[in-house]
Amino acid sequence: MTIREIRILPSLAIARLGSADEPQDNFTIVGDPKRPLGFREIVPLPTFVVDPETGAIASVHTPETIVLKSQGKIRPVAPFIEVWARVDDDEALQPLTLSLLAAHGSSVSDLSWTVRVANRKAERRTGHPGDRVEATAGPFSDHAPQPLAGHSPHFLSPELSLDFGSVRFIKPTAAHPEIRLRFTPAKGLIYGPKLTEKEIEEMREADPSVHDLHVVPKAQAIYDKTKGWWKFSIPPGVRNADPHIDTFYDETLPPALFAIIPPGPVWLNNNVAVSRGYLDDACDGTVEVALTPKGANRLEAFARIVAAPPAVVPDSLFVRTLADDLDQAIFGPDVPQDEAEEVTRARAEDIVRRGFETVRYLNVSVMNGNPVQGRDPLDIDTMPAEEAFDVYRSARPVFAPHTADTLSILALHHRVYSALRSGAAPWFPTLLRKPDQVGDFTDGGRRKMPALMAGADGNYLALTRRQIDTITRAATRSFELPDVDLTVEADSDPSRLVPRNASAWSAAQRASELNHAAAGNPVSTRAVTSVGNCTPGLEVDFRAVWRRVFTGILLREYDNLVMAIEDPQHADLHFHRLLRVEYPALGDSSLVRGFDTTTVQIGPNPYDTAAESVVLSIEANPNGVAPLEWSNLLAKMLHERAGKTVTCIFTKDKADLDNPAYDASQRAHYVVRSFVVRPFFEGDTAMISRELAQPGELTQGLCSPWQNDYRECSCYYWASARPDFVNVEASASGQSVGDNWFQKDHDGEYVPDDYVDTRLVLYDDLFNHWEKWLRFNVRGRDLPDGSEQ
Amino acid sequence: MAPLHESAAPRALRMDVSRVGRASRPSHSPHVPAKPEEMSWRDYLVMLLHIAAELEHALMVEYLYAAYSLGGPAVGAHTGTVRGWHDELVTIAREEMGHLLSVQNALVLLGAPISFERDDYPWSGPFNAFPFALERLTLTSLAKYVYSEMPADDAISGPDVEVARRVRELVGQEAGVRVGQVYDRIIALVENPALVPDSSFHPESYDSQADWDEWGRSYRPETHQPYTSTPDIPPPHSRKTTVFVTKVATRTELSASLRAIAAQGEAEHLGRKPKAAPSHFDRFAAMFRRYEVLLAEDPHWSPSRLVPVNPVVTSAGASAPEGATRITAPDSCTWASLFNIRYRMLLTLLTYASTGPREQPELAEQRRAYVVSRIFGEMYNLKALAGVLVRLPLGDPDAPERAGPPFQMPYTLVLPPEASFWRMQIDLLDSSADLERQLLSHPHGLPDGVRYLHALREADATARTWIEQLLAGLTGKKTKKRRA
Repeated sequence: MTIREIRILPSLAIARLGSADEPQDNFTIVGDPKRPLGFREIVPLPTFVVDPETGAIASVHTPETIVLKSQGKIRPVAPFIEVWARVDDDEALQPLTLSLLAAHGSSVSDLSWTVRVANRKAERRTGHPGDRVEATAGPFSDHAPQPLAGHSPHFLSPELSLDFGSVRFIKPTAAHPEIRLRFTPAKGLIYGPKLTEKEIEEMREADPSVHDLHVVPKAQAIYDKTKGWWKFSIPPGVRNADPHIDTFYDETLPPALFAIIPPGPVWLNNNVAVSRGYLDDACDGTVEVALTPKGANRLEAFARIVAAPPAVVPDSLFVRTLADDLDQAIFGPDVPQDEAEEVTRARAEDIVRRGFETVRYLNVSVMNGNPVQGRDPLDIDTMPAEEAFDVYRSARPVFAPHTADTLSILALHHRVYSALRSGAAPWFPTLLRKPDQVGDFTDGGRRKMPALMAGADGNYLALTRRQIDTITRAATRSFELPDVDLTVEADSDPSRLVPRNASAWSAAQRASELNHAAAGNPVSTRAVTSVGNCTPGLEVDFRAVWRRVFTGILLREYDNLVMAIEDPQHADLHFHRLLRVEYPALGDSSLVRGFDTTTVQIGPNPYDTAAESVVLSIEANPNGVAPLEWSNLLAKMLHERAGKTVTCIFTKDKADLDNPAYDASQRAHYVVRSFVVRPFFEGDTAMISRELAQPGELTQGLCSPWQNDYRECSCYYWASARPDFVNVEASASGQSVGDNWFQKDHDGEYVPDDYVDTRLVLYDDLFNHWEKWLRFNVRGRDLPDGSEQ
Repeated sequence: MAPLHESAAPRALRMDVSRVGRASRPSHSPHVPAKPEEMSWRDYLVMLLHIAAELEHALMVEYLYAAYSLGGPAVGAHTGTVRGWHDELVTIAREEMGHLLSVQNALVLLGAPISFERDDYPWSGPFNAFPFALERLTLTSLAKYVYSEMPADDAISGPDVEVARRVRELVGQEAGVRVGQVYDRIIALVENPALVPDSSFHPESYDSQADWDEWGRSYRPETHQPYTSTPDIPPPHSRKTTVFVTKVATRTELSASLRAIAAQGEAEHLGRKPKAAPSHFDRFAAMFRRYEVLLAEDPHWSPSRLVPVNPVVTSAGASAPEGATRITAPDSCTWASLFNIRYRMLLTLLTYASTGPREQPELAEQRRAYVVSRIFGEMYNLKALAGVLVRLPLGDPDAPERAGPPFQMPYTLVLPPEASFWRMQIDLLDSSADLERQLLSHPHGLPDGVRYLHALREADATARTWIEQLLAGLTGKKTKKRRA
């Protein structure tokens, strides 16, 4: 017997931060077929108890209830990752076990693990590689916990480290002979510069309204304040395309995603953002396992791990998750013609279900841009307000104001979902926002679905192309319906929902590996519980994965600017912009398929708002150009041209301070060059290519610290992951009432989010007590005392 | 001040329109009956608008029924074509809904009661092209739709001339007044200040009229891109429904609204703007031509299931009215009754949305979101239930005949006062729940139907809670304490 290949499953595992000693017990979420509109049930599953001394699984128990928080501390989610193997000529993967190793003539000691993680958030802002915090564990083969001690040249000394948690090779036993490793993330601590009392006092005095300014504990004050991250700032008001600015700054989108010296937030305070120099202990990286039997070839396998904030609404799934984007990367944007109709239909239903799971947590009336208690809608954090700020136009409600109410809109979604369950074909594909319509701010454009939320490009959210095609295809299915069970669960076997033909099998296998439910892992370790519209994101900034898709250059995560050159032959393209990509159409190379990398923001023409539109130009963006998110933009090209060349069309000159759109009439003046499209996955595995993203790069665009994101990004990014409206019920007036999740006192009186209302959770509340204020919500209600389910 | 418009009078109290002209209906050159002497011109105009509303309502359900009938094993290789017809019929039905709402706005502007009434089948009158009938899509039923929406002869040209000839052949001598003729008469009156003076119009009613933003549901063409001229007519596969729901404040606006409605239907000569999309007549005529081609290839081909003409649910032992077909399979009866209850919910909510509670506008405003959502939700329920019914047997489970959505009108659309209205809604939810329980108690039949019923039951429970909260507010009774 020969082990010819090993794999790590799942290929991506999400850990979640928490300071409790005991990791989160295993659970999944399932729908009740008899209550299809209700919340998913949290179902405890067999949970491994690891002996702290030996590193072996000492026992397995299934808890009666799931405890998410214990004694005020959130239980960390510590995923297991498993090693699987292909033996001889069998294509099926099987768990690598002690007996399989023995049959192969190997032993546990022939296995070694290497884990590399990093936090590059500060580096992403300052541009200084010294601000990178990296940790490596291994190679190791023993079963002791391996600390992931993060080091940086900008720490005060090489001995000081930032704790990213630990990894442990679980000792296989006769009872549990499988080969697995566990990643236990950090506690969610904030690190920062070592400051003097005077400097701390100056920060305190900068905004006397901050009564409880966070002070980084001494043990975590390890950053050398002279190295640049402390008091890092970008001059206020910078817009790279501003004609009055002649210096390029590599801002993030949104800008200033870091803890700033009060007052905050930046946009209410003249755009002044001076960094507190905070670092968090979130990270991402790779796990490598190698099997080196004596006298045989070395086998190795890889996976990615991420440490992220807790999933505070564990029984709901967002309408566009990371799993949707990965699904698109695997299967492409189009539903295959030969996909079984019931499969397409089940996925379409699932999308609509997640749609209403998302709407539940939006105060639709407020998020619609309606005045709240007479206050100017511009004062409240909503997508219509965001849009108004972006394009310098008056804020307008999206829907007729009196039709916007949470329970009413939720009820409508319920009826749509119910009708779909009857076998009715979806009738609303034309109401879905297409990915190239995200900059359409006319009433018709803004009312498309999903509504009231932001996408990865900061415009209105669109589903993935594959999600859209799924609903479109489900709408055009045949008249005769098969009698089948159509239930998609968070933990469904992906192979059940993929095409059955042989050519698609490898993609199905890849999906299966990526979403593999490893024994002992809660559902919150999987991509289906991670938001997909990364602006910048909560678990990962998925925008970053596309930066190296064209071999030889590095693009910015959110737009078409060439930020770095990795192949010297393209050195002349530095700071040019990629305007358009073209390649031969699949099946007919005489036809050219192409796409522009930007769209134009348009709004209603005041003299005929229903039928006519105008370009929303402003001084700093005279052509109203808006970049499109890479994930949807590149999906088709990736599917058809991975490993092949495409033609890229760049601006003739550097355009770091400009924001041009592709103009076909100017084509002769552009730089036209061929690039190889990097495959998204390594080989036939589900490992996201290490050439696309190195450790730390999938999280580098996230807020630093991540707690900032909960304060700055309201629910119009990820309503069901960062809720807005909780404890919602009907009132005697007919309108929905409830609490803003982020108000401190949940008394049933909704407090609109203006970032600074002291009734709300503010920055330092989070920095000091994030485990208190990020309250778990189950079945739409606060958990009693935030502790147990 | 008396309300500008009130809910519709019960049909029993309505003017007997048959007296207006049934006797005078000529068979070869049908025309809209003349104004009776005892009516003022304004009265006559209001009556014609009521007739128009009824026609739009009737056409809408006829088209929906035809759309729901499509499919089944006989479709064969022409699934794409038939799906296209389904979409076209539903699109036109949506547009008829817009017409219906716009006509209500016209009534509101005239200070007249609104009406969502419609007679049940078999029903005919001097203003109908044909007796109202729910029929599956056949060449003959399609010919009736073509005829109903047909413009005047001198406005027909090209291949449509042959279509008009064939349609007349098929519908024979029974054809009466076309919809366009009714609108011709209405528009002529609206545009004549000598007959309908300015004092007949109530611009202050504008705010209480139905609004596209509420009812349009994005059903109109995309906004033009900047710097583009008016685009060409889009091809059928990308054509969107264009729902007109037009608020009107003046005679001029009302005239424009009515002309737009008429032009979208059939009377292109009434359109004031260049034709932007094919009229209902154009679309039906295209379907008719294609249907004839397919029949020439296979005379036995059918795009539709064997659903009955005018299906009805009757009390046990009662016979169906003449011209109607009784649904007899027990489960199908229950599903059909469920359909009728949901149809009643839709119509009563629609009437409520248009009329009350007018004495407390702030209440109407607060409930608006829920009522509008429920109305659209009930439309989706009707779609779902119709989809189930056309797959269930009419009687003998082994026979090929299928049931169909009965669209039976409630006995009245006169609404009780506010609190009683909501109690009535609870009654309807309870009746619906009883039927759902019956169907779920022996869940043989369509798995889809069972899946749907579970969702419906849950959604209705939520709806009930919402109404109970509302009633508690109206009656001052306390409900359960907020959250433990």
